[in-house]
Amino acid sequence: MWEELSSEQSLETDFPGLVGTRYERASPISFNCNCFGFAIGRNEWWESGVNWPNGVPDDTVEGWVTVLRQQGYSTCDDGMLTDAFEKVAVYSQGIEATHVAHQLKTGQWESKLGWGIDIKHETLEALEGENYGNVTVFLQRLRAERSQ
Amino acid sequence: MELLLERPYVPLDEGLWTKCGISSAKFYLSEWREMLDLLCDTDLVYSYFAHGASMRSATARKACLRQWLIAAARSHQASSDTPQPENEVAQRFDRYMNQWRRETWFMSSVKKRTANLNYLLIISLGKSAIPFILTDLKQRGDHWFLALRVLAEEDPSNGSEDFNWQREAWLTWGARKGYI
Repeated sequence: MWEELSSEQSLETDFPGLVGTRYERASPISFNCNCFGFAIGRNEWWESGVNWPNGVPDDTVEGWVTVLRQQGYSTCDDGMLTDAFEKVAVYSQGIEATHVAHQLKTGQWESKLGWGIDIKHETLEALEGENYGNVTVFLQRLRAERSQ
Repeated sequence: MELLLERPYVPLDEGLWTKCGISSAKFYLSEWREMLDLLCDTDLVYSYFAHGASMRSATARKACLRQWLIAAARSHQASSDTPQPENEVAQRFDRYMNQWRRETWFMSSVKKRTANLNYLLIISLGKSAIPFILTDLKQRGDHWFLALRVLAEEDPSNGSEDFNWQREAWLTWGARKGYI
């Protein structure tokens, strides 16, 4: 089932923006980590009750930005590649945060897709759509601050 | 269109109603038409509508929905504990599980994943679902821990949030109880 869900066909069904773009599976399925932990370089699950600060909503853009700030990020204007900073892009549907991707030194983006696999994708638009909404916030921090 | 519904019976303490300031149930049919179309379990629908749909913020509504689906599933579970033919349970379990995964595999929130209707329908299968859940947990893994806690009414992982730890704890528990 998981293999089926993470097949190219299924990925492109759930994320039609991937069709015609360059993307690749980066690592096997992992249940111990979600997109948030993955994006900030911590191989852990981050959600209310697990690695999440008390009193901060875990399903809003505002809440995600608050926690990302606590992890050393600050908001920035765009996802342009720079040498000094690593960037993350938060996807949302309205005020509800749905996903966060992080930028690699190559300029590619890397995303842990829920419980499934993680993929490298050329564009942020590739994951925009019905499931994740759109990228609405960019944040950055010095690359040295990434712990893994 | 606003409808008023009778408050349904669900096995939760009375304080929850007071806490949410609900004395009678209101909801806007248009807002939930899609859900009505999706759900076939009337009691489940009414339980949620009666409680969560009148809450103001989407976040609060979702939290309520989750709570009520679990409560309704528990209620349903009581009547589902009557032994069902194993192959029928197996078929329903597979159908709900596959649909659950298709609809939620990309989500990064356990809360959202376990609030999915199909997950609650698995819980509604009652204790007869436990062997199937444990088998899937052993073979493939997934966030079955909430369902197991609801169905077993205990938590052998002692509240751990580590996936591997929980999996091992539940599989050990299942073997000890003779489920697998």
